[in-house]
Amino acid sequence: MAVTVSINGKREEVEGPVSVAELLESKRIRPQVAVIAVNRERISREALPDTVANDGDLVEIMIQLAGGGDV
Amino acid sequence: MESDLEPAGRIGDYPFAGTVLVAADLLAELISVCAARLPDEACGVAAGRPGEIVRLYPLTNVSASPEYYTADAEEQLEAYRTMADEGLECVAVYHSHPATPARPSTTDIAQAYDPDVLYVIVSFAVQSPSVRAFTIRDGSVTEVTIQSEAPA
Repeated sequence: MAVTVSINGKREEVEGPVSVAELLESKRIRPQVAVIAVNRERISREALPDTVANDGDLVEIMIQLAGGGDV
Repeated sequence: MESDLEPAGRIGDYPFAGTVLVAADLLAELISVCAARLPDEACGVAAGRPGEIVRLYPLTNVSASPEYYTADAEEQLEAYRTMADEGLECVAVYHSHPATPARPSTTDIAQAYDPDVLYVIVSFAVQSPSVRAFTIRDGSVTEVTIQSEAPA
């Protein structure tokens, strides 16, 4: 069993336990632009440094989509 | 879709690589859901397999603007969960350009977060809607040809 990581709908598995903050850093995702949930519970930015995902956990990382036709 | 796509030629403004299959009825649905949000931009995500889009998940544009979109975060998160429950993965992000061509804007390029996902743009700048798909990697845009087939 491993930690399942979903980044904007794409899933992969990593070995646990893993710090969610370190996971974000390894993916070069700034916490300021991401919504994070572990086992479907939202994690605040303040709680990130203390949040660890273990084998069997689901970590969801979502970057809000934005753009536009300003050409 | 395929992360190892390499440019194979050039059409119009961009080099292109590979094709993505979108069933004709799904392509019509894409145009329809985007047209329904006019005059504002529409947005959403799409799931499927490498090389094929099989389902759309329309999202609310909370910016409610004809020139910009911001996807509703709650809906976006729920769409990814639904995909996972259905055994699918996100393979494309789509949005519309109500009055500008179907090509990534400077904002689209700056906001592109995923080098492997397809960015699909539906343009209503001319009478007949135009749909094009792109990869955006490190600011570099490559077109992926949309192959549309009627269901068997």
